[in-house]
Amino acid sequence: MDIENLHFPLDRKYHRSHLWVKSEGDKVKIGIDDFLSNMAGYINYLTIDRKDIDVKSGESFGSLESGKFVSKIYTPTSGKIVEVNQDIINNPRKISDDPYDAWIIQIQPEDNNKFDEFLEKEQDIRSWIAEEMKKYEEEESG
Amino acid sequence: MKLYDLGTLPWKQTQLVYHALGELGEESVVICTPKERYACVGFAQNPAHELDIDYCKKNNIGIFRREIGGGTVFIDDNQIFYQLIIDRGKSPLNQVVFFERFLQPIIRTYKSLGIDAKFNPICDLVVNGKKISGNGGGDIGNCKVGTGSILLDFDHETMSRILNLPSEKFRQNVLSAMKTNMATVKTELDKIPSMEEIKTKLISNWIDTFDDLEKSELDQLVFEKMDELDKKFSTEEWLYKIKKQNEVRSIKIIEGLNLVYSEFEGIELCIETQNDIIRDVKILNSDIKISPSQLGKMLANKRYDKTLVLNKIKAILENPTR
Repeated sequence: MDIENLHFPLDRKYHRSHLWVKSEGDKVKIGIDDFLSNMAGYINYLTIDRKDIDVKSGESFGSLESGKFVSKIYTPTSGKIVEVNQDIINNPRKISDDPYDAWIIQIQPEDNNKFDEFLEKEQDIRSWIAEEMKKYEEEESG
Repeated sequence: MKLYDLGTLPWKQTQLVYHALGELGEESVVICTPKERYACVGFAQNPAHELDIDYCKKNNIGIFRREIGGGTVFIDDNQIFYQLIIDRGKSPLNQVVFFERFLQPIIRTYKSLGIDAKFNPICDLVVNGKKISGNGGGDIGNCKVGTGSILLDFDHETMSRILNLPSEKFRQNVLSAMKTNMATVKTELDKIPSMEEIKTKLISNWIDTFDDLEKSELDQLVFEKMDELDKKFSTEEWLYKIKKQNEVRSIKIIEGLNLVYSEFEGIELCIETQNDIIRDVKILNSDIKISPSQLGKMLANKRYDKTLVLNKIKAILENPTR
């Protein structure tokens, strides 16, 4: 699904922090959506705190630097980090090339996690991105 | 929101203070100057790659790796350091908008001194095309933090000396480019107004920006957090155990303008790029029989790529008359 020049494949769920999750068996891969990727521009540096740790939803699990600003990345779901994508850590610019191929971490979610806060229906994603674009335009116009 | 006018501080505290305030979630503006000179690298940088560590140690130049973005900076008592710590939820999503807004009080301060500073995205301030202020930012705790400094004067020689560079000739080129492309209060006014005068203007401009800003003093909690963070930031693990950047040695002079060092079979080059496009090529060895103009013509206006440069040199060496 495309919204203006942004792409949102419907094979995954989106969190309002602009991270996506995609289920693979009993695990989920997590990456950055096209909105955040476009806003960040080229990512110069990406670091993940570490593998094999339990994280709670909303906790920081790493940082990325783009345009002289270091942003923390907050996990959208609780669970254990079981895999880190070293290729993306070594080549973070690949996120700009294809944010949906460039997963960052894989999490084994907690058993009771239903991903209720995530968006997956086309209309919900469209409404949310429209709001985000409006907010962004208002910021730019001051 | 609090305003901390901290005057002169031991060098490390000028970095620890905004990290502590960010961690504590205390929205504030900090103004300070270090007592001693030091080098500070960005979050993504490894000091062992960026700095001549031995030189820094022998010359009592402190080394700090901060948690926010940007490149290597040299800070001394000729700079007024400003720091904004603001709740993440109240801050713009777009980092360029964040920097542009954060820097408005600084632009007004320069203008009130008679210096026509302008915002140059992503986060530089420039006057007549020369950089007069570099800035960086990042998330710390639940806050967004922006920092930078007003350059009263700048010690280009020491800045170029503390960098870990592959050759002395390349260092001379970096020094020359910094002198050509950087401005300070002194270069623009031919004098330096008193630090108090500049700080008074700066504080007034911050108060105009945040009308609830009130002058305060750091409390014990902030000092305790600074002590705690000092332990973390002083460890070898924090300072040196981070991934080194790519092998290409490139020095950013101002936004968009870089000097890149390249070497092939003993031929050393200093390549000037503007937004990654090659603008000028200097051959650093005087004994190499290769024409700089021939090489320059072959590379000018091409996007910098190490392999491209090496292939062109190889082609000239194989067929010097071409």
